[in-house]
Amino acid sequence: MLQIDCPFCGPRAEIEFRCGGEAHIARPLKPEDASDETWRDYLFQRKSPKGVHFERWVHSHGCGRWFNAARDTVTDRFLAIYPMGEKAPSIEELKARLPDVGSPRHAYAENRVAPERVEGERP
Amino acid sequence: MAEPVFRSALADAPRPQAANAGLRLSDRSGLAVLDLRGGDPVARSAGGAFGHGLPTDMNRMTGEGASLALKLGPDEWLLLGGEGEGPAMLAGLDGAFGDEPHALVDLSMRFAAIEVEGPARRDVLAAACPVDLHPERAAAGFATRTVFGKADVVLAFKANSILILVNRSFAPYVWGLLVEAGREFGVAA
Ligand SMILES: [Zn+2]
Repeated sequence: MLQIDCPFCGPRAEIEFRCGGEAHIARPLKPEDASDETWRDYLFQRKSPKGVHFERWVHSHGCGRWFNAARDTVTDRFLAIYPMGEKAPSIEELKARLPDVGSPRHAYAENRVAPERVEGERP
Repeated sequence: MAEPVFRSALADAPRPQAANAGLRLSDRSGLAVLDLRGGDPVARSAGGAFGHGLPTDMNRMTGEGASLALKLGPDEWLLLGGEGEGPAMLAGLDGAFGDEPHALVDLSMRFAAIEVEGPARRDVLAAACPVDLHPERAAAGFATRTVFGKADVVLAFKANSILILVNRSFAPYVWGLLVEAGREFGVAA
């Protein structure tokens, strides 16, 4: 069972939570002046990285609070949890907190190095 | 205007035979449930009017008997009282908060309540609840919102029982799942 560290309740089972998709998407400040392209990007364009993804989570069957998280989409490991409204930690900061981020297992987290395929391993 | 008539959502639920069982289920529906939202000053003000202090730590419960206060979120408390006491509790808290921004809502009619007693109560709950139910972690005074099977529930751990609050429409499902899980511990439906 995957446990997620709620900033208010502590570690709780994943099924108590809901993911709210990509974090740090700001609504255009002057919507009346926003171009079609700006609206398209705001409404529909989302990242889908193989590696670190910054996303919003809510402890819906718990305290009901929203928070931000940096999650490795390959390993499902939560690398950081930080309050709503706070700037996302950089990959360097995540590395400093978790030494194995950026190691071969996590190299492709930075979207630069493709993982080496081990012979016989399932893709 | 006609007075609203209260009928438990569990009125038709099968009553398990409790003899020799490690589990006893009781329908406590009808108890008063108020939801209080606000900052810590609101909680402090409520304490005076409510009769005892509200918990300051997350997922804690204070009070005894039917009069309980549960802290379920950083700015959310549930205040419980005896059957039909909701309006009186609302009136008692009226004006207690001065200018502090807050919300106080009577949710009594929304919830069904089930009290689970007996030595097997934690094991039966563990059948469909992901919270750590070890007596040291979920000791008396622990309270939280979580899930039981597919239902959103609030659990309040008392000294010798666990109180489950669940939305009315989910109550027969939760009751049935408790009875089903209890079969292992001697419950016969
Ligand atoms: Zn929480």
